[in-house]
Amino acid sequence: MLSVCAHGFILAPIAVVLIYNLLGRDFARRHFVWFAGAGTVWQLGSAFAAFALLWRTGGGSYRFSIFWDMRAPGAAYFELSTLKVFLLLMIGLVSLVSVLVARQTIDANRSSYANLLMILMLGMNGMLLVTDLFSLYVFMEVTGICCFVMIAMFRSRADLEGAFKYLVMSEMASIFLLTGFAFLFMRTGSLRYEDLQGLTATGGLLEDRLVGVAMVLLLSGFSIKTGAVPFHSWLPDAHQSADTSVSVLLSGIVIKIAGVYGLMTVCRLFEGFSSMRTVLAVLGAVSILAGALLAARQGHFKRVVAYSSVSQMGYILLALSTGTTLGLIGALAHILSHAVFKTTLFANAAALHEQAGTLELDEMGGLEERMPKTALSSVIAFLSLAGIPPTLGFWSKLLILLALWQSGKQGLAAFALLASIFTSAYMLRLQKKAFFGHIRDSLTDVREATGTVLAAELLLTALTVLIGCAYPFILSALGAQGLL
Amino acid sequence: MMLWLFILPLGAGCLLWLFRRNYALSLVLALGFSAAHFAVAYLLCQAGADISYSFAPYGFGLWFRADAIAQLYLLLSAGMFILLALYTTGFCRDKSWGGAYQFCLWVSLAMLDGALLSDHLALTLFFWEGLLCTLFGMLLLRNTEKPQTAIKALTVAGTADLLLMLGIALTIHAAGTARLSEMHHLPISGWGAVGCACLLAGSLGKAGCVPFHSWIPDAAADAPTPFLAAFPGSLEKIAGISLASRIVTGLYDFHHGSAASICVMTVGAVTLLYGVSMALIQKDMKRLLSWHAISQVGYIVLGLGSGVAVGVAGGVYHLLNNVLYKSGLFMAAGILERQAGTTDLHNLGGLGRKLPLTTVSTIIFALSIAGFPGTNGFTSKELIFDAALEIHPAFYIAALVGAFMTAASFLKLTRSAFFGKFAAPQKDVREAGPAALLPTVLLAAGCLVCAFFPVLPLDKWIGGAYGFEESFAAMPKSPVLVGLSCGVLALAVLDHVYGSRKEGSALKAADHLHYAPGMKQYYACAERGALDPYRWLMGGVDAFSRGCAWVESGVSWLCDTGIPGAVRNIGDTLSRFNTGSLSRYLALAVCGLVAVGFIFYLA
Repeated sequence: MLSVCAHGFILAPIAVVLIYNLLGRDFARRHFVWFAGAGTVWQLGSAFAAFALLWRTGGGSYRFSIFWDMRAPGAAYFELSTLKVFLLLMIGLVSLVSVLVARQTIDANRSSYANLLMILMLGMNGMLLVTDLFSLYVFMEVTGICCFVMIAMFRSRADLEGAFKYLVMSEMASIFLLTGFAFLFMRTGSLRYEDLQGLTATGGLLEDRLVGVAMVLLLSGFSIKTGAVPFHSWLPDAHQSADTSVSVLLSGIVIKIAGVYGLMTVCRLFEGFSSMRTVLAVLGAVSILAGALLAARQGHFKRVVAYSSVSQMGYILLALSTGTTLGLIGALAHILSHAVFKTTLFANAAALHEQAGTLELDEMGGLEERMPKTALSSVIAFLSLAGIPPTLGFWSKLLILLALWQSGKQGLAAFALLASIFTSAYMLRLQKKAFFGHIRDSLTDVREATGTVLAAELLLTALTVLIGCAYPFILSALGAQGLL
Repeated sequence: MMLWLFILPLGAGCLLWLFRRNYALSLVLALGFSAAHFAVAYLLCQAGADISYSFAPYGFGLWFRADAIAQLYLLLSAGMFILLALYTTGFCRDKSWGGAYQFCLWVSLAMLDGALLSDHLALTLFFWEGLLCTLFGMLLLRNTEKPQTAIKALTVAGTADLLLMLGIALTIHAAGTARLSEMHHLPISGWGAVGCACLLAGSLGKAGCVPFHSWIPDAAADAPTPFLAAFPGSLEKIAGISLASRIVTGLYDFHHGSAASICVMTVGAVTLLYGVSMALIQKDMKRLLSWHAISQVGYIVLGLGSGVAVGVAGGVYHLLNNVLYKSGLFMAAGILERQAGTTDLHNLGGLGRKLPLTTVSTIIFALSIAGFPGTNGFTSKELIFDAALEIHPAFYIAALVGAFMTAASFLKLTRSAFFGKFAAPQKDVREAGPAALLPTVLLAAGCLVCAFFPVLPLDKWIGGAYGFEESFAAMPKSPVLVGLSCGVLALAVLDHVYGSRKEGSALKAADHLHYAPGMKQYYACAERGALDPYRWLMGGVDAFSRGCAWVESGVSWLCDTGIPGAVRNIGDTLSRFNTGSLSRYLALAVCGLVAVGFIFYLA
């Protein structure tokens, strides 16, 4: 059973793509939601199943290969663990929301969207499951190329520009990473995780010293993917120019898998480099502050939300910088809350774009009267983002603060706490400009969002509140099972 | 039985408020209840020398204890209250605020009983604060339009109570218990010293000591006379001095010649001199008496602070005498105010024949307070002189100067009010009714009894309560000291004769002292309010509030302009980097790489 789930993470997206492209062109176009939806629901379902199975065995991991014998010396293999299953679940959730949004926002290129979404999922699943850095790089490139095409395929000039910037920056990251991997390979002759573990930069040879340089390159490369300041420049442009269903994917999951998960892997493999944690702490703190300050000055709904992602990634980097288990849990918890509230906000953006026809904050106002459900979900997402109990965001920020405090970084904890004031500030500005105040004359005919976009908003809002309320119980249940 | 000490006053307060329009019934109620209250107090004292009641159902206790000292003050206040109740009921007749005033007064009695009997310092604090609340209420009653005096009293007495609170906390900390009966001779060192100082400041402040005196002269102008007779005259002094005497005789290890003793005596001497010097120049009877109410506390504190038996006995006896004659004087002032329509000495004169009983009583009081030989005031002052001289001659000299000025100001008061030409011949001035006159006359009689039979109050009551083995009633022992005192009094008489001859009237008899070089500047200073600690406090408060306003405007600026401006500017500056130019993005990423490398190798 576990083997079916595990193989499914790689094979199911491929299967969906194959079957989908065998069908007639018009039929496929009309029913793209069902195919893409099936892929994401399969992902969600199998992630839950895998989680339950791993739960029953009390954690641990499951190794598998697909077409080759993984017992051969030096052979690559996939590995499934609870941490990875959690992130696979996130991929499924965000992809599902993206499909729900896409049903109403995408008109042209529907088939391409479905195909690309599946390949993107494959790329991200692969990144999570692989056990050597080169495979990681390959799947990362798959992810990056998919994203590039998804941003670009709606063929406006702005789209192309945003996509091109994303591509160039992504390639820059690839250069950094490949160089870093090459340096590591010079030292060990292998890029398998098990061979790299415990590596240090001491020794007289050039290869030994280059390990340090490799660390810097890896950190910088994955930081570009994460969108940490000062590597963040591509992120708002790409978000703004992409279709909202693609923005949901980019902000909701891609930066986390391609960026944060990469950093997590680096952190886990090279625990001996304590200065790495200092780098992460600095990048995190700078990202939190600069992201928030930039978000406060943006005039476009999606740009505010994009810069907010930069700021929130900062919190995750701070959590990782502790190097403790609690820090890792805090980072994962914040990945969950960020995925939920950020996709909510992008679903709001989709609803606003569809109904009000604009995302410029200066052209909005008072929409709460016309779109009460969207406004409510937006406010709940804001509360979660600002870390107000009992929402999801409160718990993850609390865990991060606790982790920082316990690892002796009280100053950073205080900074993170104070910086939430900025978070509240830019989000309040966004809420006020979009939903509150007097309604504009041009917006009096606006209606509430409908269909799958509204369903996505309500689903995510319910998740924010319900999981938030159940959080202590979930944590204690996981703790009792030994999964934390 | 102890509970009745609270039930009776509270019940009486409610009933008197309910039947405030029926004068006869009010009179009966006031007399009946105050007599019953006295009877309960008396029975309580008879029941045993040392009674303790504690109710502690859920770990929360109300500990009361009627030891010998508490009994003494309890009987004194209960006895005094009968006269006060009678006088007050007479005074409040037909007054719109009478009912509420009576209620406050009787609640104060309950609070005073509680303060005297409580054996737990937290409980003491509760009753003291209750006393402060009723005091504020009574001052506010007649002056709701102009509440400055009430606010001043609340601020000044509240500051004293704050110190008391601090003192109680530190004393509990030093003693390890909050029960008074378990505290014996705590050492005056470390926190104990601060605790002792704060407790003394609080209790003496309640009694009206400098620097907590300044509301009393203002109250003299604004408050009704029964209030002056009841509070600055007797009840507050009883409350304050009872606690202060406990502190110096048993609570703390307070012995004569110690630094604490010198400090307390200095406060006493300053209070004495400041109060009496200000009294000397007053031209209004109530104000003059209020300043004397302050200066007499100075004598009491001088005696108590000496820490020797003769001083403590003299101080407590002086309190008893002071309660008798000071309340009596305030009552007499009330009679004058009601019958002659004013207490301004400019408009009084020749009332001796119109108000014979009031005049005789006032003369007895005046002789007592001035300490003429043969009066009760003479005995207590001689004891205090004795104690002062034992500690340091400077205190003795201060006490003598005080005696001189007291005598001079009372000579001025009695002569200008009761003798000479009748000031308002067209007015038909008659003796007051029995409700006002009877308490006054009884107090005068009390003064005479104490004068002729000092053994009973001094040795039996006070000596018994404090456990003095020596007999002080046979004083004075030293003929030299008596001679000196008499000489000072004679000097005061001569000075009065000289002054009144020089200025041409009894009222201006002290003017040559008022305008003497040095004194003139001192009085000018005092009249400007420069010597009023309340003004200093308010000045400090003003400066503090201006500082707060400054800080607040700074914070407001920071929140309204500073931080948003900074956010806007920094945000805009950062946004300028994101021009959309790809080359700039790449450059930024490379810079980022260099920065990461830099941090990595630096850390």
